[in-house]
Amino acid sequence: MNRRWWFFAVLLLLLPVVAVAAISVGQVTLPPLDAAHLLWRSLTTPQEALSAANPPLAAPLLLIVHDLRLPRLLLALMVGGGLAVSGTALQALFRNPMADPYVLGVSAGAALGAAAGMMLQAPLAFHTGLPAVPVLAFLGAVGATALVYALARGGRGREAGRGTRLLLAGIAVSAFLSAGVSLLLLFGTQNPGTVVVWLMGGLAGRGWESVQLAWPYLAFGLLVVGWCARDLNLLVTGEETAFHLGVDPGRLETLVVFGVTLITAASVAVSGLIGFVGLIVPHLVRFFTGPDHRFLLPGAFLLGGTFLAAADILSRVVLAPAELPVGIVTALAGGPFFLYLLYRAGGASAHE
Amino acid sequence: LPKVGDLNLSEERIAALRPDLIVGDLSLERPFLQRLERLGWPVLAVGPKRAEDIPQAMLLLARVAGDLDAGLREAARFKGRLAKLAAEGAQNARRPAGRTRVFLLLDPDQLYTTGPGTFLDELITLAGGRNVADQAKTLWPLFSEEALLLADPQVIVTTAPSAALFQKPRWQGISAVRAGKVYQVDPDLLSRPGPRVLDGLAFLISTLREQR
Repeated sequence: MNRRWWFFAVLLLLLPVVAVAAISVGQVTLPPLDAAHLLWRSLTTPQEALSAANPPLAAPLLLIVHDLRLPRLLLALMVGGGLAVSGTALQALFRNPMADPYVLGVSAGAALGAAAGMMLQAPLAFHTGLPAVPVLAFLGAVGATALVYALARGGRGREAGRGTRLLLAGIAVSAFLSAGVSLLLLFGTQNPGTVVVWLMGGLAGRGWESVQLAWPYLAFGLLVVGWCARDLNLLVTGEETAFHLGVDPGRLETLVVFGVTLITAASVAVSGLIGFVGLIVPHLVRFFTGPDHRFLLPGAFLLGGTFLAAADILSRVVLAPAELPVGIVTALAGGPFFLYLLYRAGGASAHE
Repeated sequence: LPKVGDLNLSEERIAALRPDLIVGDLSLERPFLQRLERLGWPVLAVGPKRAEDIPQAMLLLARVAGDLDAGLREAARFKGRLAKLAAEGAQNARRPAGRTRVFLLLDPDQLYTTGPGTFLDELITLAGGRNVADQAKTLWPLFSEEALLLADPQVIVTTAPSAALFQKPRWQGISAVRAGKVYQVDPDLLSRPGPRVLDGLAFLISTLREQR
């Protein structure tokens, strides 16, 4: 109990520190007070005035803070938090510590959509005015999960072993779609490097348009998953027990899969495949808050967002003036840390 | 000549043709060429790294093709034109305000550019400009948008259609975008270290000349 309290206290202190750093650090590093001042000015100046200022680049710093760093920070918080919540919910749903937000085919579907978007980019963008890559990545992710879900639920399957069927269908569909990505890479007209960098996941060059695109799906998905918190608590005690306590496991599964799909599809659409946040953050949080999802889910959201925002700062600084895809940073930082936890706890944070 | 593959070459098809000589580019196909060489096939690898190395490669190819005279002629012509273009580039570089800041965009989606030490970077310098990514630590960096806004390039050259990027409101303040100095160029003219690079260089020089 005490531990849980400390965990949230530290997180709520850490978040503003990381947020201020995310606004201050980059190509030019500003003193935090200047950054805060600039941010205030950029938020109180109307958008039209910013872009119509003459000459517009009179204040490149204002532009950098308002149009690059702020939306990137928000995206990192949303996507990192969303992925961590998704991972938490799926680990509970499948009672499997290896589950991450991508087990249901989201990653492969999004990758196929994004790769196709990059190959066909010009025509689609021309005809609809929509950015091809995020839209197709989103559709690919949703489509892949829908396919996995339909395959696992349909057919002559028995009710028992439902989770396993979903996981296996996810693996099979992912493998199939990944082959499609490889084919596009081999035969596509585009430079394969572009697709590969997208696959590594990153927030470089994302601005307000990405925030606008992603937030409604993320918010709705988070509400759905959050609403399931109590039922997830019952489910991890065992499907049988949960059933007798009034939980309909089939309905719960549908709700969680639906919410998680919205969250991860929107995240992946704007940031590519960022690994590890959705896998390690849930374990880390569970270590501090215990298995109660009413604390676990908000904790995962806060820590996931803070972690990704911090990783994004690194991805901007390490190779400056170039960018490192943030997915590399999360995996480099997350991998060893996960192993350390595993070594320390002997897997005690797993469910069974 | 029959085609033996695109970026993925088929050894078997090459073998079936029994070529007298296999010519390849060292920078792109080194492992493949080495494998062919180990098979005992006649391989000639050329890989000019700088514009001034190109005449050498031309001579080499002319000699194995058995027409050294043509090679000498072409190489001399290349050298002459290169010298003339380099002089024009040097003039561009002597602007009172210093070298024009150039950003080279290699991808329609991401800010891929060329770092220092590449063939493309050399061409920008020869043309009298300064590559805004010349401080990057890698050959083909994914440039940061912040760095681009701060570097404020005066000319942007793209090798891919990337009109969408240039409509971003936050890019409207960049000098090159404001002045309409965004040019698209056929990538083959800039990135293939062969005779065509002179056309690419001439193009770069002309875009920078307007800048004076």
